[in-house]
Amino acid sequence: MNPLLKQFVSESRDLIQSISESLLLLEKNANTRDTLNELFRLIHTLKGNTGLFDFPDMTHVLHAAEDIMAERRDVEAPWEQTLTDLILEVMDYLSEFCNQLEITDGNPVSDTVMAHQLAGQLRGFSLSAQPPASVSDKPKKKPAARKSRKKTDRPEEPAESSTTASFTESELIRAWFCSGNESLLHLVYTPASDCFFQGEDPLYSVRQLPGFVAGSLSFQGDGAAAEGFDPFQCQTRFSLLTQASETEIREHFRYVPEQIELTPLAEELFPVLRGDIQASAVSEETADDLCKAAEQNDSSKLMALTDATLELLNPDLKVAAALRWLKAATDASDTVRQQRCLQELRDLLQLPQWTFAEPAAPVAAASKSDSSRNLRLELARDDEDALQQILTTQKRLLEKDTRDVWSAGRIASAVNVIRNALIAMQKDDDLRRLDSAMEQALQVQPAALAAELDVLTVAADVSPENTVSATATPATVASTADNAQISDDAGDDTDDEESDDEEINDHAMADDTVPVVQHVQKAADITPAKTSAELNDNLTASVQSGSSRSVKVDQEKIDRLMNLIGEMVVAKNALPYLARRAEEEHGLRDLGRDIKEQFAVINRIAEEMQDSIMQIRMMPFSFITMRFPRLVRDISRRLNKNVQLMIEGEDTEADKNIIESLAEPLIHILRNSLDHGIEAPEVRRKAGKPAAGTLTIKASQEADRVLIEIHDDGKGIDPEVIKQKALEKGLIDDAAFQRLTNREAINLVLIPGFSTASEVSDLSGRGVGMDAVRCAVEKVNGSMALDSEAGKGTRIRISLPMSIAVTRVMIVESDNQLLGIPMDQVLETVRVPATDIHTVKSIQTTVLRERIVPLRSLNNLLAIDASQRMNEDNECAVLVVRVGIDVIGLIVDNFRGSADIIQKPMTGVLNGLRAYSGAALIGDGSVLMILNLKEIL
Amino acid sequence: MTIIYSETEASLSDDVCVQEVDALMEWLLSHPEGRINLKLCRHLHLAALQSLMCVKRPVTEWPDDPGLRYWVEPALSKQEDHV
Repeated sequence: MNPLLKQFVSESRDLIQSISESLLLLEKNANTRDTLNELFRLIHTLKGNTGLFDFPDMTHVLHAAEDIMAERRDVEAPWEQTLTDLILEVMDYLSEFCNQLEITDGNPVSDTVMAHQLAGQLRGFSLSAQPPASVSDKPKKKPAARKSRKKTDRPEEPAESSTTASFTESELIRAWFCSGNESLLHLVYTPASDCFFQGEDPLYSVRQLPGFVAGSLSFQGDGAAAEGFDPFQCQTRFSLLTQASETEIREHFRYVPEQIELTPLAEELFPVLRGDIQASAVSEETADDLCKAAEQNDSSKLMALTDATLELLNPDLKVAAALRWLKAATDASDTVRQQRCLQELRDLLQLPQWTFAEPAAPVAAASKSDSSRNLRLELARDDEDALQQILTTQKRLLEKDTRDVWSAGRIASAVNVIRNALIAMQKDDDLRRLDSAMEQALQVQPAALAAELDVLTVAADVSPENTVSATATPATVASTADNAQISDDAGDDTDDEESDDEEINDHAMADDTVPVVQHVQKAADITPAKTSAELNDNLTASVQSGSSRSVKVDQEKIDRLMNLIGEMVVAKNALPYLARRAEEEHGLRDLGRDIKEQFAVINRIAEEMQDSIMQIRMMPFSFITMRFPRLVRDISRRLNKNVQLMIEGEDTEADKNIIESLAEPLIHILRNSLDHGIEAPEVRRKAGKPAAGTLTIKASQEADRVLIEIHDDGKGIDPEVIKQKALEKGLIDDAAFQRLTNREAINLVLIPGFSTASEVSDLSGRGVGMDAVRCAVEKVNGSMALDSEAGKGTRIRISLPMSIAVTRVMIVESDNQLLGIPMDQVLETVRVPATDIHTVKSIQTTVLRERIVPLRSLNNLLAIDASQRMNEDNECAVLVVRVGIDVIGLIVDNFRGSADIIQKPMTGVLNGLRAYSGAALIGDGSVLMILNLKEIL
Repeated sequence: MTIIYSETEASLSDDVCVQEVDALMEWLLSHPEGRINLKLCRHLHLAALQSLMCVKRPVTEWPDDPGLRYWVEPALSKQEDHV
């Protein structure tokens, strides 16, 4: 994972945490403005951060949240608890997203549906039910390509239906016939102006639109100054025709339902006729002839007549448009629509309506036989014009000198252009012929392709209005050029395209030459330099803007520092030995003294250093408690209990490992308290307690230990119930049942396999219970005690060392070996005269402060075949230790004082030696084994 | 990188995503004579298309992809009328 992403994950987690906190605060203090502001700012920051990466889901959800917060911030409105729930849910989703990010190394598989659901729910909280403001209300008028036609529109004419206005005639004609009898839908899609920030690509959505027939886009940013243009503001609006059903469309745009507008295109809207009105454009006879031909269902005659009439007409006339529609209808052999077009035509010509007789049997089915021609006929005229031009240009290109070195490349690029054109026109047959022609051209003679092109040009030229003439004339270059000219006039918008095409081809030629490669290299050279410069800028900016004085450091680095200082301490401790040797072995008293002086300095520095490093590892208790408010809130809401959480001493610090190891047990204890401890409000009221239960977590520091106390004022633990349960489960026997004090009974819940809940809920009571808590605490050398009073509440005390990095041990000697015993287990060291040791039931015991203490010989425990040595006064060295709740005296040979050591776990085969918890180096360089008293006693 | 910039031309290829729009816009603004080659482009993020529509630069080659060309050609060629 790259550093930026790592940073992002860690920051996001912090922000998510802060957001949760603010939310809870908000809920507590009602609608305070500052909290709202803070919450908005946090969400906004988080959203901003996501923008650095391509995590559209995350951004999408956060954007919705931001909108809601912005609204709440500006408008006074009561805060709903359900909104808190929802935003918390969103935060959970985001946390999971961050986890995913880490697991998948920056390629999260996010739950898009979930994200959109959440965003949708959030938007449901919007105070104004209105959808987000659209970019602009008025769609831009027709694209400029049709400007000339538009100009001639007369103002007094009834305005064309706005739904069809954005499409060209050929598109509309195609749409009309594509749809068959299905109804066409007109769709206006206005993406939100900030949609890019939500990971949307409207153009992509549009290209994936089901049943797409035609579409156009209008760009509002037209004419704006390029310098001030913000490409990330969506200023485009789409107008689309589709034959898909409304459900399909709604499904396609299900995430942005407010951005689309669907209108069914009624059949009555068609044909859409544009142009100038000229009543006498076509003679009455011609109109009648057309109608008759239609009546007789004589398609070829109708076609020929239409074409002939069209050739004589100004294409800008409305009549011409009607004829074009008629032609399309004839082509599709759709008699109903044909008649409609004819009636429209007669209307335009101010002729009376024609009464159509029943259509006769088709006369000329011949025109339909040629399927490829039929296909071409269906194509819109504009497309034909374009193809025509492409072909002509390619041909001109191929006519150039074929002997030069680029000819092969030129042919290839020409073929490429033609192929794409043919693909676009769906001319599969021609495509196959083109391929073979190209091969021929490349191998033998380039002329073959030119010839093929001729054929194609002519074929393409068989555009509807030229059917009669073009099929009859043989192909020549001249005729193609002429035809191109004609269609230019008709198409009225193609002049620019031609020059474009030439440019394209010129470029296509250049493509095959060397300089392009150089371009690429140059670009490659420039790009990395630029990006690194950009990055630098960003960095400087972030350094300048970020006033935070803290540094986030990977824990591993600190651990390494810790290890190093540990070694340093050990190395430093070798100096006194060295001084002694200098004095004793070499007689260099002065040198010995100098070494000792130097040692004092190094010692001071090393200790300070160790302290500082330990400080770095220290974390406040709040690190774990900060998630508790949320936890308590969620659980108590689920259980319908009313609980107030009080946390004290949040700034108490302890080593990171300790704090972290506390998290799990504490959560467990909290759950227990909420689930089994604190009663439902009614029960509490009956018992004379306030309806709201109180849960207190108190952390404090006591010498080198951290004390944590969790106290609830719930129903407490009934020792009798516990004893009974323990007896049933066979954890204690009858004798113990009678003997146990209440306090001891309560502590039975800490025994493995004990769970008091008779019913397993999903919160707690799975039988792991307090035992798991105890284990976790003991793992970090902590201890815990439980105390409870039925009806009054339960108190759990946990005591933990402040740091586990450095352990203080008591060094003892036994059979000439040095052994370490963790200081926190040592109660006292005493010298016991041999005469005071009595054997009771074959166990050595002594009485210390009026208490019987069993004594165990360390040599014995470690199976060393030697008896313990005593001092001159015949006294045994006894180390009194506490293991669990037992106090035991350990007989050793001698005490050697205490030392700070850095305990290393044992690895390899040694790991199996349970009698030792680890090993450490001491000052003279020897290894000190640390005893694990729990195992050996 | 799906956009290769030279002094005279920006060649767009494959899917041009939103992340590249900033760089594209920068290039467009710093190269007023620069032209656009879309031949190998399969998809343009709308933000990129908007940038192109805004600056109105000649397009040397239209996309091979007919689906994309359907959209970009009218959008970008109509602007030459404005220039």
